[in-house]
Amino acid sequence: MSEIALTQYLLFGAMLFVIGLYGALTRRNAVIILLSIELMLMSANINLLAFGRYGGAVQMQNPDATLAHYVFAQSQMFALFNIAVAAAEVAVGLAILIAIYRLKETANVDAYDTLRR
Amino acid sequence: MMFTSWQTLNWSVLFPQIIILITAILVLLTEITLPKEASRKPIFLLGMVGIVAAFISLVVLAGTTDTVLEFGNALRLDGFALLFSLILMVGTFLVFLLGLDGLDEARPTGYESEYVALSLFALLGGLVLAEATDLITLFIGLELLSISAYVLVGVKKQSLLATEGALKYVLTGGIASAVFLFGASYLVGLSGVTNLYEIALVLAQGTVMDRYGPLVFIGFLFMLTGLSFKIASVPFYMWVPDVYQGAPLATTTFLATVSKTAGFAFLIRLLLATFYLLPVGGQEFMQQATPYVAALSIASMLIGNLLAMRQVNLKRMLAYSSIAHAGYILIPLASFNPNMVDEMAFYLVAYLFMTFGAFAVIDAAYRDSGSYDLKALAGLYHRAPFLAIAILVFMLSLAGLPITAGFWAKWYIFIGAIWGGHMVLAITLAVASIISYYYYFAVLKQVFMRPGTTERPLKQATGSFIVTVVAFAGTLLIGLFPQSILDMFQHVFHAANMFDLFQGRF
Repeated sequence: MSEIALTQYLLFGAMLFVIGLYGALTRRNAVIILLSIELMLMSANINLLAFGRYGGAVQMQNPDATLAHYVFAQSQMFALFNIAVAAAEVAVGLAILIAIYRLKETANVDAYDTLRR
Repeated sequence: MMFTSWQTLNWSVLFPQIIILITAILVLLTEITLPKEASRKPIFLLGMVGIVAAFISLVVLAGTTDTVLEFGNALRLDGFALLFSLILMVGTFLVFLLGLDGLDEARPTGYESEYVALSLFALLGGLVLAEATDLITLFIGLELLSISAYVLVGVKKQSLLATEGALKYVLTGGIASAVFLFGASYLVGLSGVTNLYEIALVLAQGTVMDRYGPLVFIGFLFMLTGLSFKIASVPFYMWVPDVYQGAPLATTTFLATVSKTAGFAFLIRLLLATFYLLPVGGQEFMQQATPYVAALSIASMLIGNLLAMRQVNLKRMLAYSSIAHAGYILIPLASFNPNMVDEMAFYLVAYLFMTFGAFAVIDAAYRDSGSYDLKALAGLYHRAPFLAIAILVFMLSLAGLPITAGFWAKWYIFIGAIWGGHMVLAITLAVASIISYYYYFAVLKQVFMRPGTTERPLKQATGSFIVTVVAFAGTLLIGLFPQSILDMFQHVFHAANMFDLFQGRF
């Protein structure tokens, strides 16, 4: 069985990002849009964790780099922070969505057209 | 890598941030103790006192230190950080003055304390952003600013306009931060480090750029696109008019000045510290990157100014004008020259004053007529001569005509573009400015030449009157003594020297 390489993970991350972007741009339900944004945010984390597991450009060039463990930790640490930030962002998004739902009684973004008139 | 215990860290570099954080918490605690019907003015005053205290601590820091690196190099207190922190603090202080008499209408919304606390948290994010050089710290600062701003837009939650603006803001903002983060993940992953300066060092080693150049370039494009949301330029500009229109006026001003300035601080630090000098096949990364920055700049200038011509709502008009100004400020980043950072900071200071002035006058007209329509300003000259003269100065300054701050700001950028060898940018700047005369003069036509529905004198609230006077004085003083302001940026802050870019050039 061949081992999964870094490239596969990066492709997976890119696919997840594109799926999220497509969803965020085409779906009309605000909850689904928030969900798609979450997908996009998580695709960045997949990249970070894959790089953290396999090492970045410098490690690929000299595999016996002694700093390896310390260096990998930084991109994984970044991913941890991103998860917290993404949660906060979606929490605020949902709170605002609830506030507007009370006024409009719909989650369809096409109905939110009071502005620009 | 040296690890230090928390007692031995140099906490003084964080004093302004700590003071702002404590003030924000105090504001929330005071809100609990105040009776429901009491006036919320003391809360705004508390916020202003906090900002003044942080300002003083920053000035003390500026007097005692040269560049300080602290917290494992995650924070870097240099002239650039000081300069941008000062602009952010002045901006938030003026926002509080503007909000002093109710957020944008005579009756209180009941969320004034939350408004002050969230503005302070947003300012905290901006201050972190100005000082940080580590991508994690920068991203946290950026999100603290963004998430607070989402709530600031929707703070009047009974208003459909405000909540709709807030939802559009949070959805666009979420996409923008995801795009930014996706780009950052390639950069951090490839280099294995998160510090902007270290990323540049690692990527410049050996043949890294030859083999992984395309990935770094994707990272650059995505990060630039993501940050264009914060500075309100093309391609993430669609939210600007809706959010500016829906938000309470004080928040609109906050977004146009503080949030934009913080975004530019991040963008400048990112491009100059990390990207521009990376070696690519005998060239520098700059040669590949600047055409994209220039394209964003040109598109913002043209789209902003052309769409502003069709607006009759003052807030929407200034929103499109804000997009155009983001385009002007991007020019120095595309035309590399030794004064680039000073030109951008000068423009941001000038833009701060003239935007605050314009919004303060619009605020007065809105409180009187209840409308943001262009016609709300009709006959202003007969009703409030000082306000009419003030808005004349602000509009001339926004349009970039002489004896005002805006003229010199544009002039320096124009000269810088020619110096950097970008004639196309210089010409577009001139053409875009001429287009902008159309809608700035439409405002003046209403103020001076159209009869209003009433001749009753217009009284301005105290807070926005002070803002008008400060902005009026600032715009004229910078307009009369531009060289001394620019000299101050160059010699007191040495903002551009913080990036070690210009040795052996020019």
